[in-house]
Amino acid sequence: MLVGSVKRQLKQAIPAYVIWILMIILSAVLSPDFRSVGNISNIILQATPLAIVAIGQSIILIMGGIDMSVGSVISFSTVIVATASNLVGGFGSFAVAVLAGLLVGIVNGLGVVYLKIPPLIMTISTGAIVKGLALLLLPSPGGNVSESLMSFFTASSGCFSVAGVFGILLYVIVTVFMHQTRTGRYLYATGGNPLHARQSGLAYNRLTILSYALAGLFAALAGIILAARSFSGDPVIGDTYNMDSVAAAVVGGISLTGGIGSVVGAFAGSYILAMINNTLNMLNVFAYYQYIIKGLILVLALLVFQLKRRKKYED
Amino acid sequence: MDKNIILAGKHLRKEFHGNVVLDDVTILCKKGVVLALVGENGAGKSTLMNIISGGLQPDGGEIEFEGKPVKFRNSHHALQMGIAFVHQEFSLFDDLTVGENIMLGSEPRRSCFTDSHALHRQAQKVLNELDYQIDVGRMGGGLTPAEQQITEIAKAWVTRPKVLILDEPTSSLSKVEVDKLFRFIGRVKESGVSVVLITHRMDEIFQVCDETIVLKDGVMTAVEPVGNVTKDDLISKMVGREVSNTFPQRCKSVPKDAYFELRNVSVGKRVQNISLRIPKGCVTGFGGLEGQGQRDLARAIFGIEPFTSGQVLIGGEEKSIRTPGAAMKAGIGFVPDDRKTEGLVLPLSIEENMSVLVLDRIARNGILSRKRVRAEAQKGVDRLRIKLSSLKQPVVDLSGGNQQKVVFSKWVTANPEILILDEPTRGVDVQSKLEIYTLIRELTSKGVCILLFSSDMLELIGMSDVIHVMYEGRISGSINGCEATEEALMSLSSGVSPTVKKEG
Repeated sequence: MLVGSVKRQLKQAIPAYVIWILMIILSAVLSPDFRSVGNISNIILQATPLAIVAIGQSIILIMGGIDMSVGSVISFSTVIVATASNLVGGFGSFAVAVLAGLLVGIVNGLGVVYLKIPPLIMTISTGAIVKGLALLLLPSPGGNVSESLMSFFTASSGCFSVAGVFGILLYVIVTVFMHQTRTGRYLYATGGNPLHARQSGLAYNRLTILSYALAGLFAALAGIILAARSFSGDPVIGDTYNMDSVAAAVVGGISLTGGIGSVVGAFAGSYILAMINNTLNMLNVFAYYQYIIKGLILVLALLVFQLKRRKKYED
Repeated sequence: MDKNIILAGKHLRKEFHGNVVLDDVTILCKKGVVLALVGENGAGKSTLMNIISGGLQPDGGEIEFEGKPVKFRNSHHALQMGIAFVHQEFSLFDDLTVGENIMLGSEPRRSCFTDSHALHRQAQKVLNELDYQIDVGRMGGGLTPAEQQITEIAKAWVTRPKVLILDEPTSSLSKVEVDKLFRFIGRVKESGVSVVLITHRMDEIFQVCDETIVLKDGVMTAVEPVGNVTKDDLISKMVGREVSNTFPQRCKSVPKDAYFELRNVSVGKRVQNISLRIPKGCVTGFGGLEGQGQRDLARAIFGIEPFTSGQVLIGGEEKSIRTPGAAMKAGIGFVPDDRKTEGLVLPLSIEENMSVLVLDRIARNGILSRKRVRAEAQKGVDRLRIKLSSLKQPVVDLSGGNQQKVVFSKWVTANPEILILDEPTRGVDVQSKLEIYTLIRELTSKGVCILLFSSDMLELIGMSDVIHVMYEGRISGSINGCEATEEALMSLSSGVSPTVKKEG
């Protein structure tokens, strides 16, 4: 059985799962198209990149930071996969993209820790630089993604593709990491109270750099899957993921002020957002209304959790 | 070399910005000995403890651990060597359980995963050693101050330290809990650990301690075995500074009609049922040890964290003050204790800081005139003789004393009827102090009601017409300013039954 603070962190994810399940039931009842294998595997395919980048964003938010460069890292990663395949092969381009993501994350972490640049500013800046690099390498969508990489990730049986299973696997690993290792515990402690974390002798600098590196890594992985799915590189495809990854984490019950929530919630949050997109697309709602609706959902989620927490501390 | 000495700090010296806060202090922590460290607020106790536990580096002197000289890199390093310091301020995590808080940094593991069951079992064992029952599964955020204190001690004890430093561990504990803690200290001592206990309560020294060190203004005034001293000896060694002529003459006649009145006001449990009648034109001092509710009272009057019950009357009229804005409308001003974060906007210029409260008055149709802002600021600068190169200079560049003068003059231009001063001269040089005191007198002669919250006893005695001493959220006694002595204030502060005549 679960013992300790993990129980409480996991509880934060319950509302997201309730909403998600209600959405599934509602859609299944209302729309026969929804139940088709094709649509379900489509949703999983759409949700997986967001779910993966949301892992990294969640770790950062729990540690008390924020990463607004993940969108650009995703774009950059698709561009690398689409341009490097010819030189280093499909899985070589995979490795290059992962290393690039890690590098951007480490730069973010170093800037936050040693240059003391606020996370928001630091990551927006690196995001701009990385976006520029992506546009430089591949000014317009296209390029050449390795066939083997694509067929590997999109291979599927029934509703589940390799990409979808890969995403779930990452969630299992990170959930165990966050809740069952010392480092995970210290990340929570750092986000909960950075001052006390330093006073307690936790390696604040190392923990911060680590979490930004992980965010870069997961953004790169999301980009690789996105490239495999669309079979092309796209220098601006990641732009919406900055806000969407934060929204997925927040809808999943992770606090923007750090220390509270679980990646388990971000998983449901990602699927909720993906399903909303999916439904709006099926209903032929214009893209700009989709932005408005997503924005409203984020505000609503923030409001609900904020009110709940304020009540808790007033008691 | 005495083999019983575990940790020795020799001829330690520490300066902050040119102020000597510790001078030639030697402290010896011996095996199985409980050492009491006593002294007034600001005598250097915390500084000394921070130095021997790695939190601060000394400017002079050396530290020896088990006979060998050491240099602690930081408090984590000292903790690894076996020196645990339980600070007065708690550093627990709200969102970790009691068990996880206690075991932070020494979590038991199975391969590379933490073992939550073992962790909570071990934490429970440590709490049992302390003979204190807290459910280890509870969250840190829901603990009472007493439970937090015990958890902090358990967190320190779990590292099995050789030297255990406790900074006022009993201030939030009940009588029964204090007895339990002292029995624990007794057992710890038996096992050969050296304990340092900082305390203000005289009784406790005689209950558990073997030796005492008295600090006064950063200098050791006594090192004695407890058997050789009495309570009065200790108090007289802690105090006894000369009341110099730095304080301007107090005004002769004190009006008796209450202008500002508090009726049974409380702030949760931190301030309890205080009733006061404060006349115009006098300085009302509030003293006591740190954390007895003075800060909460000051902030509640100004509406930062409002009173939870009771009434506030100004000029006979009941006022509801729930925000600082409402307090200002009612004619209350507040000079906060932390000027850098609460009193000033550091990157803004002197003139901008000074005029920030009276912009309505200076502006014409909502538009600010630079000229009038400047004129207003110049008045303040002249009145307080603030040393500056230009009114456009950012306040961050000023010295502490001049910064405090800017805060003062900001409030003086707003013409408050009641002015709350929270530690108005902390970190301020002597000359500026004198000027601030003179200004306070000027204000009272104009009929302003001054509420002076200070941990500096001489300042309270020198400036106040009446001094109220707070202890555990209540007023433990009030003394007329002319008759007050440090000894009398100290006894009231440390909860020793008041022997002085109560005022009014």
